[in-house]
Amino acid sequence: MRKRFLTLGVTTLLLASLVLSACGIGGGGQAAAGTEAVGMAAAMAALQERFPVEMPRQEGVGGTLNFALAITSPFAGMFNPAFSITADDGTINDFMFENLLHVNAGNMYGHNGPAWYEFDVEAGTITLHFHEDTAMYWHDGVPVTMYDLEFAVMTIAHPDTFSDRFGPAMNTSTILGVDEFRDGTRDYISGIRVFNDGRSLEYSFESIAPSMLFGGIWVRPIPRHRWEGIPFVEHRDHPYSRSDIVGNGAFMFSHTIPGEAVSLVANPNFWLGAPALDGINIAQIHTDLIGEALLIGEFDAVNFPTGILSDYEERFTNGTWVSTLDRRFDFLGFRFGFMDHDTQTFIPNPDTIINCIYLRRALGYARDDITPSTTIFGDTRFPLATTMIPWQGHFMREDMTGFSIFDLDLANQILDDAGYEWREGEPFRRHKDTGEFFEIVWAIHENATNPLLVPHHTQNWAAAGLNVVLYQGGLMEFNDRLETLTHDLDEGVIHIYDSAWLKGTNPNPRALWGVSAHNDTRYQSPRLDAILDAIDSELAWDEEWLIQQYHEWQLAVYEEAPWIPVTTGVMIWAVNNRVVNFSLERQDGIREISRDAWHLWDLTSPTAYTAN
Amino acid sequence: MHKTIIRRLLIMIPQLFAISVLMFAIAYNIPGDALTGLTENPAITYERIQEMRYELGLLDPWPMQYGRWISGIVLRGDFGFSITHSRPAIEVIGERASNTFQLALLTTVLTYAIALPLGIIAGRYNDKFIDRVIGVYTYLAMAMPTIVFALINLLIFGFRLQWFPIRGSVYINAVPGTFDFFLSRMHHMILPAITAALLATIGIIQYLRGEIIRYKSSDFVTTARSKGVPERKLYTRHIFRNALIPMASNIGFIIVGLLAGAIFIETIFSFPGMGRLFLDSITLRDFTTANALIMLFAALTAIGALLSDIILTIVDPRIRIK
Repeated sequence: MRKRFLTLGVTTLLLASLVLSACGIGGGGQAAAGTEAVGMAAAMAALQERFPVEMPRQEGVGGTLNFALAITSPFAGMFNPAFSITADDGTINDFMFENLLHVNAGNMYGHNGPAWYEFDVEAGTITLHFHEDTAMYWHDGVPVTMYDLEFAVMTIAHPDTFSDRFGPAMNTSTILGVDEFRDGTRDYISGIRVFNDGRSLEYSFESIAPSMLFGGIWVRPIPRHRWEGIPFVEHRDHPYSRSDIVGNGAFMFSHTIPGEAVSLVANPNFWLGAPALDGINIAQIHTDLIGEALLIGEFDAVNFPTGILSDYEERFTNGTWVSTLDRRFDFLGFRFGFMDHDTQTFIPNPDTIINCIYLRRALGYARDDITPSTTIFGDTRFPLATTMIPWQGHFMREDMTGFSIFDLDLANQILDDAGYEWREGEPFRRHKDTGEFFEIVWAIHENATNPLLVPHHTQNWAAAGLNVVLYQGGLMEFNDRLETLTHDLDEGVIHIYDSAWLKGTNPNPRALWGVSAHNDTRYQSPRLDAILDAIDSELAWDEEWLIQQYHEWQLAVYEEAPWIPVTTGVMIWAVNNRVVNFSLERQDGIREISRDAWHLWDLTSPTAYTAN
Repeated sequence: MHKTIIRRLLIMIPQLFAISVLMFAIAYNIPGDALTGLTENPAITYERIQEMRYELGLLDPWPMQYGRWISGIVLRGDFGFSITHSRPAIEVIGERASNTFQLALLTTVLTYAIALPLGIIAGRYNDKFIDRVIGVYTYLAMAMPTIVFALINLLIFGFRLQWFPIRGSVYINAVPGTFDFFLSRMHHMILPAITAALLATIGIIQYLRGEIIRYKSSDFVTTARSKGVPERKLYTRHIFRNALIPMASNIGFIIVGLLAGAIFIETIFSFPGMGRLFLDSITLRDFTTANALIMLFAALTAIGALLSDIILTIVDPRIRIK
């Protein structure tokens, strides 16, 4: 069964996902029951109206664009793709390094990058080929070959480099022969074969799954010719990783001021054509100052912190707000047990009060995320109806409202029916089994907005007769919360927790919600397991069938409610009005800042505009 | 005095050793390590994170980790590898130390340049109009939180008047080693340095003023005055010299304090220095860097105390450290 991959046949990826029913009742939907249900569709439509998706398309005069990293601390400055892990370094690297495969509609690998690919399910291979007309060069003029991609994987897999890119997520650890390479038996990875004069590369695996095509293989090369002869153990700390960078992207490294700025110049040999800009200066600025800096034209483009948007939305007269979907997924998790990390199994806690589905549902309906989305997050977040987000395109069900509505009446009805008695004059309900008062212990970490959210939610839960208290009496320090949940240090005390994921291109939920340490709910059920297995099965190569499985997954999560989706949102980019051709909408319909468009970015004025 | 200095330096060894043990034990018991943040990344499995912890020795008991760390410092001068920064901790610190040192030096110079004349004027003309004006300044500065004052300065002189850069330590295109680079660095440092200096002057002004007032009415000054010593000479030869001695002894501590970094100043002016690095190291559980910084700060504090004593003996030969 050797076939060339065909793009999934859903062309209305994003728009379709935006046109969600405001109060639709699908398989998993619930009637709004007289509440103010603010659907995703309305919110997203309002957003479309509020912010454009791109800057004007016109010819510019070139120049150097000032790009800001609005972060609270200096960036790490690791510019080797094999080792860089922070988002800030990743942003800088994206200007300098080009992936050989680009993602297409639905976040799957497409054929519109420098290379295309094919796969063979029976043989367990995925093969990348440069397009015949692709002429890609490293910034020092040496042609990019598939040997460079092979070398990148070898760098990641080598035990001396301690790369955290090594693992099943990018399948760098499942390539055949990688174990022999790591233990020193071979000095190459037998499951990687480069042929066709370095224009093609074949990855061999024990088996391949559809999820591997969603950003699941390594496609970013490293210039092998520079690194040859340098021991792997020296790679991390080598100047080639920090201050003397050669990439293959639209912009070339010029110099850096460690931790605070990087200067890039245009790569005249970029495979898509020379950038219109002469260069880009990237600099760090504290999150709290970025708004003022934009007003005086200090920066041309920045991923703007949405928390301070309302302070600058009107004042930013010298620029334009451009929006894109966020990959953010906030949820309320329930704790069902513990994890045995040695045996990789979940151990259910039969005594936890959270085992009661009615209690979980009531907590979901009595939680109001509609009001804070406006009052705290300035309508840049929206209540989320299902466990997948619009960014994931057609995999997200459009016919659910789930727990996105706020319905105290329904919550009270559910608890009354379940037997959680709330006697006249008593502050809270009594447990349906014991008849005693009970507390629901909530773990949530300290940040800028959670102190505002906590009283809002606890008051609403109290209005449903539920006594929700904070774990150890207060907000948790972030790392403390991570450690406590990951290693079950609470010993079953925590019942519910707030958390968030930044969703990746791979929609497969197993890494997050399967039997994995990432799944802090410790929840497992035959129904969810069956769907996860189905998604990983060979049947999943059938696109329609796969979509059905994802839809079934969302319904099952709603019905079993082991966690409750809370919000997703948008990212806001602030762009000075002298910038043109800046677009968050690619030709394939994905709205995100796009590496196959930024060589088109240009400036219409030698100096940035300032606010009135 | 040389023997005393050597003895004081030798005493620092057990002091630093005790601090290192205490610090390591505390750090070990704080929840999380430099890899904890990775558990939020679904692209990295928990098993891989544990594997990395094993490879990096983070799962070993703390005495074993401590032994490895301290022997690295003593035998090889190796303060360990920062997982967060993917490089030796001492390199990260070195990079920031240069920035912090330059800012600290400028701040110290400005602090004394502002505080000494103001303190002297306030003391000499105590309870006069000029003293009251200086008094208002010191009370305002005392009441003003660093973060607020820094933001106000940045807003006025950075954003509104645009006299100074609003962030960073040097212009991105300045070429190291050139005069332009030096000018650019000075241009970037002046606003944060003045901000820090204006707040740091309070203690010096108040103390100096008090000392001068005290000496003005002291017996030896009264005697000198009755002998007909001119007023100007009275101040320069007798009063100021005595009043300045305690000030000089503080220089060592002030320099150390500034080297430890001004977290608020560095944060608001996006100036990458050691104070911010220390805070980030704790937040990100980069204990290798945090421990190295603590050891550095501890050593600097001990050296600062010694330095103050040495300065004191130079300023006032009657004093000898023993």
